[in-house]
Amino acid sequence: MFKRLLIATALVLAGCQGGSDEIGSGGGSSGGVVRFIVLGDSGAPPESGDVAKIVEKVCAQRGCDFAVGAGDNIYDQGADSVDDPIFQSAFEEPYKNLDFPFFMALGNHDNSNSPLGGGGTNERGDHEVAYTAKSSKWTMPSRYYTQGWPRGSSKPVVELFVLDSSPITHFFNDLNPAWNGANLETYIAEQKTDMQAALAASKATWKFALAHHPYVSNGMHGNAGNYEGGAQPDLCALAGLISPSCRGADYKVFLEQTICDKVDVFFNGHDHELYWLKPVAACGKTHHILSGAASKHRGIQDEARNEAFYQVGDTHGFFWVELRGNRFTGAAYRVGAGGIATDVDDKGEPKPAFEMSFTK
Amino acid sequence: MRLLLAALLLGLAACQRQPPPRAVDVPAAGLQLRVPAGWQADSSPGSLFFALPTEQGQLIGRSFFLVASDPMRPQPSGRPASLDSYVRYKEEQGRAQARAYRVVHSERLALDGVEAELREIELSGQMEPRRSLAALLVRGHEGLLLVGSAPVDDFPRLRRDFEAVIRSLRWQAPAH
Repeated sequence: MFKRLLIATALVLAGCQGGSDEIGSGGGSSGGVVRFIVLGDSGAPPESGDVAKIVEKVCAQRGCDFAVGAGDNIYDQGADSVDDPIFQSAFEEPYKNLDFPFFMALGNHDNSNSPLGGGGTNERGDHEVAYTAKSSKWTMPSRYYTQGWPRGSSKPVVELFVLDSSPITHFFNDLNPAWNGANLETYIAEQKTDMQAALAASKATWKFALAHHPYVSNGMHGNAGNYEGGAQPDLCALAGLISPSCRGADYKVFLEQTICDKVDVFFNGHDHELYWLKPVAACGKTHHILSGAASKHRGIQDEARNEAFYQVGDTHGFFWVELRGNRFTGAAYRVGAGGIATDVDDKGEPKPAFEMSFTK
Repeated sequence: MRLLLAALLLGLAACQRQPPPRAVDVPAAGLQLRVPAGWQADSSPGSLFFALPTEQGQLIGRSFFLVASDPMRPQPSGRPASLDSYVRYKEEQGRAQARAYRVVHSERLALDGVEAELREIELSGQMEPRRSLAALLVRGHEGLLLVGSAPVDDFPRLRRDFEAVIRSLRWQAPAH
């Protein structure tokens, strides 16, 4: 009996150590300070490897505890199986020198069976969930999930609410009955109520949402509710014929019912630029950081569509974030061809193209 | 005897605190349901009806009740699909999507004269195990699903309400 008590006490203490505020990995952040990288649309090597070179330098300079991946982790159509070698070429190889967890979200290309990325093959995303068990870094325990940091802490500095946006936004209907009709609607309802409950229960100082599809964007895909409104060709012109959810109207409502005004920052990708957009009334206090240029880039379509703290197109890049008490700092880094930092300091080291802080 | 009386009084007091269920129309499905008065009507993409259960005014997290439909292909004979085929179809879907899927209980019942399958199912959700009480029925070329879903730990408190809502179904128009 005494031995059992001793073992139980040891286990509890071991668990408490896991919840310590000391964070040692990946660049030496500690004392309740959390730093991480925001990558999106990263699944196209070798450009992802170019971006990774600058991520390595920034993490060495400023510290990184983890990275988040905002979907489209594997172009053009996700993985064929959990053993698909594409996990090596699209993820393990580019990030081989980064030794910290990557918390991943699913994007439309991860759930597709054609280069168009229509998102109508949701079962393919399950291979990326399963890959979690095979990788020391890739972390996607389920299609949507929450993740606190420090891991195991009952009152984490930050909690991530990772959404599965593709089934709510796809522009090709999923012909698999498991992802269609009442089954799909039940899945979305589960995700909605799971996220509402998790957000209400969270004791984290900082709450962030992560999903592939944005609420607002000045890029080609645009704002939820009017996705592809200005795109050529506008695949949503076929809405109704191929999908009723193409414009993202359902997704807009879903976000307003779940994460809007509840999280401090909504990180996403989908468009291939870098944006830090100001909070918009319908989504409350939430900031919108779109980091979709980790392996692809494109020009800004309408820089006046949403007010921005910062926006840049036609470049690869990523965001680095630091949380220090109630202060959030975000920095955008641009990356040129071959993995060269576009912006450098006197010593030739990468410096941010933009950096801003806010407090809560 | 005194204990029995006290229990009876307490029971009556509890009953008085429970307002009667309210009727809600679900025009897209051509039916009416009676739901507990405290439940919050809400919306969710694609659902014909969506509500959040409450307990003493508080939402019961991760729980919901919804009505949704599946278009059904007619059989080669031109007749509508049967309830048996719809039940099989939904079970195949559920098993394909969930990592674990178990039918805890099933029975046939009539919902305002239309045969339905009532199923209690346990499945691995994305974030935690869930249990659901679902009624499946076929009207014309449409499969209809009424389902109450909750985390496994909360489900026993909600099961009676879920079943009462399902059994309250009244058609607003004759079955086509």
